[in-house]
Amino acid sequence: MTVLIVSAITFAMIDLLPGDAAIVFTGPETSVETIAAIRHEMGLDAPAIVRYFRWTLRAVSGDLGLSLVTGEPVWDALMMRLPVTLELLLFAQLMALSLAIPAAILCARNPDGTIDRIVTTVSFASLSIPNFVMAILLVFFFVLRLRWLPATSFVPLADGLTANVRSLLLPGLSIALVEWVILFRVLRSDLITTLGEDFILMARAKGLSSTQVLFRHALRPSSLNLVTVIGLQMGYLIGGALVVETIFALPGIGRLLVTAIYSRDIFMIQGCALWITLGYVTINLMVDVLYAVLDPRIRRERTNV
Amino acid sequence: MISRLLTFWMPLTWLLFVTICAITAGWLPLPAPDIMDYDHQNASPGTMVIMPKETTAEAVPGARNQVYWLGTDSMGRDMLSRIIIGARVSLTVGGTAPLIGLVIGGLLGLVAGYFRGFTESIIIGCMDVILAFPGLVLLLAMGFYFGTNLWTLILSLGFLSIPAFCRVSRAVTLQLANREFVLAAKMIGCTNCSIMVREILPNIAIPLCVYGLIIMALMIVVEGVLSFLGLSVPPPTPSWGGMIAAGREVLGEAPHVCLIPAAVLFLTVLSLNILGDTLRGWARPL
Repeated sequence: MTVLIVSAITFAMIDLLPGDAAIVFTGPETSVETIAAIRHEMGLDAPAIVRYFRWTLRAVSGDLGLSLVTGEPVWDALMMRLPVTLELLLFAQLMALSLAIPAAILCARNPDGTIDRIVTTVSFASLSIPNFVMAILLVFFFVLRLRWLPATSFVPLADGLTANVRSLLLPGLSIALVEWVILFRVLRSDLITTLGEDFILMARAKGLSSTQVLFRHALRPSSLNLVTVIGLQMGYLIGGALVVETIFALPGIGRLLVTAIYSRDIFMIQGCALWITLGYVTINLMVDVLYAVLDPRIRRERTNV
Repeated sequence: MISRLLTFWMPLTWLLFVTICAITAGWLPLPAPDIMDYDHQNASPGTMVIMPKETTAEAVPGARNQVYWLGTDSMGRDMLSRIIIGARVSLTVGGTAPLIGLVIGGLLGLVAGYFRGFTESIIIGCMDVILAFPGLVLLLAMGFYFGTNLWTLILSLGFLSIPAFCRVSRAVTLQLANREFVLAAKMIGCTNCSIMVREILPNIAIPLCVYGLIIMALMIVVEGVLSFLGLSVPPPTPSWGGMIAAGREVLGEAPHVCLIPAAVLFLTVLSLNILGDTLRGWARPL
């Protein structure tokens, strides 16, 4: 349902734009007759609803049209670039989590202690640095000043894992350094709430060490909201990937979309927007499923109903 | 005392400073933001330019000595004046776009939270559809369709901020709807409309405005991203994101061209975030 509405809006938005696809396709100095002929050939003269249904039907069967600029099939271009974006998102999310979880545990152990205050302040500052500024700062320090890493050269996974990770380190980091704050905040406040509950007191009373209490009893019930937030944050993450891919010249879907917008490549924009949106909706669906895995109460509720 | 200075007065001062500079930009003794000085490209902050005396042969009539307080960019334009003029774009977007979301989203949330039932389902459903789009992609598409100028940018950003405000306003209304003063108003026969406007609205206004500060920070960031990608206001008008993008080209030899606007953007967003957080703490006891 959501997918249908989203695809309709995507189509409508792109379809109603002032720049005419046929003009982009043929160049600005074409006669009116040629343009009319091409419009007919491309099916652009049919009513909008007819075109929408044609487009949807073809999209379902994997045909999103040809790029107006390069002439390659949009579907193939997307398929080629999908792995890069997925890898970047996954990598960034993993880095964000590996920053956020230890930080949250450290802070929740002793709320309002020195460590908590310092980490909270740092997180606040890092939340206020936009992705693209973070990316530029990282490039400035690690590439230009310290010369630790190469600037902009993406190495695909096939060319070796180390080189691949090296080339994704800065892009991933510039997303993760903003993203971790959100995860950290949610997990910290949930951990503090959980640590105040009776079953934690019980576990302590049994004589478990505080590390055991934290990891085996408190972490799992506190991670529910975290999972939801990870899903919700995917929207921001995709936006971040779009910018970061442009800055670091990664051949991903985000950069494809930005380039397509610069060159007014309509079918490419439609395809990118559709794929990104579909991905976003799918991730949120998966989050709902994961939620049930993590929390037995939700599973039981569903079976009872 | 010190903590209040840090969490309230300093961010407020910075924001007021930026705002006042942006408003009075025309009266400040600064070179125009689009005058190019090819003798001083990428000049470092504090460069002084001393013009030849009027009596000598090379004198340029009307030229005055001047200082590039924050240096010049790669086209020799004064950074300080560009940052101040760029602040106008950021502050206009940051100030007006959340306002649209605040009014529309706030009212929708109020209606949804007060009437519940069918009305609520419809409103929440619409919000879910807006939320189903990844925001930046929707913005790019909107900018592509409507063309990139300041007002379409503000309208589309405002539109995107509606669901967030709607959620906050609905949550607060739900808490209030069964409180004694609302029940009392119902009892004495007030209409639904007057209960919403006179009893509930004053109570949700403050949390919404405080939340607006945080959304404002977000809007300034998003405007920065868009102008960084060159998809916000068209080029001759300076904007912070555009300056950062231009400065990226000369990051190696003249880092200040990129880092100064980045720092200004950071301080502004940080101030808004801190201020929003502080005020939220103060506004909490309803």
